[in-house]
Amino acid sequence: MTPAEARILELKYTGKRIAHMESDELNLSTRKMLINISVITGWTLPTNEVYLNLFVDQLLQKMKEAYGNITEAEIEYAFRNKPSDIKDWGKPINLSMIDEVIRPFLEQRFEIGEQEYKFSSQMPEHLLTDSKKLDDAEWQEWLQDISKYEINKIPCDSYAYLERKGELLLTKEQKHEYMARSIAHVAGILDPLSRDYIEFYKMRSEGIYSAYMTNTLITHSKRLAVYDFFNTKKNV
Amino acid sequence: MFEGIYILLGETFNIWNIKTGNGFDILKFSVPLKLLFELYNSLVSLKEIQVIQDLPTEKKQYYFDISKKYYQDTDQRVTASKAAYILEYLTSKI
Repeated sequence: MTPAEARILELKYTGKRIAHMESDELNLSTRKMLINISVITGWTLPTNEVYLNLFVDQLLQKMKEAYGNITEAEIEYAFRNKPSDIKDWGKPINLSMIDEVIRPFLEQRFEIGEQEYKFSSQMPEHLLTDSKKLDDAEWQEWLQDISKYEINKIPCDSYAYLERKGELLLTKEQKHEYMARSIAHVAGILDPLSRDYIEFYKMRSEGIYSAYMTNTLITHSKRLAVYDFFNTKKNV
Repeated sequence: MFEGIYILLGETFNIWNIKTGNGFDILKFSVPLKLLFELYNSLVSLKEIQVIQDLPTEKKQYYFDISKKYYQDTDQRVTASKAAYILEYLTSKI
């Protein structure tokens, strides 16, 4: 991940998202952003008060409809780092000019979000290295221990290990059941206002998942199976 | 190019005053604060407004008290006092 990508990721979690702002808070925030955008870009604001207030109202609507999932800090970042081919200096501001800057930023943010999700599903390198040094009994003990806490911390290859040992053998129906649970899990953790959710919902409706999403679902299903294996064993 | 920005600042001050009674809240944002401070300096050099030091004591105290709400540092409070003064001047013109 580049420093710019890391910065985008950091800003994603800085401040309140537009959709979560109260009406008055969003009003003040939009006005502040408009001033900052004008200073950054050189785009001029309407000098007619009636027209200016109408423009602010329209921008407020646009914020709610199209930029609900991002924060004020992200919008300002997008303008500070906007591509150099964006129309500049002295032009009267309009919604389309703002959208031309925010849209590519949203696409970049979406891609970084996918990377983030992928990284968060992977086991840290040091755990992989350490696990290779453990013997069978230690490996099982460690797996059992870690399975008590968090599904996402269960190593991806633990399912293959238990299957190889003949301890965890799932039927086709059970595998389908775990896959259905994983789909429900992913749908549950995504923000309904996000592009990620829209993409996922589309895949779910069509029943066709991207290679990346298929891998994510399979990995989560395997973790669920391992989690159930150890927790059910414990309860017996 | 700043004309629209100053109108927006004045409008925001008025609207925010009606909604919350705290129109001066925009002074807590760095860009509006600097813009208003620069406008104060420009208008003083053009002799369009009195320097804040020449205002009656109670008026100076009034602006200094407003700045206290947003800043602790003395220099920042002086800047914010001038910005508050110019903000009221602007809104009296709208």
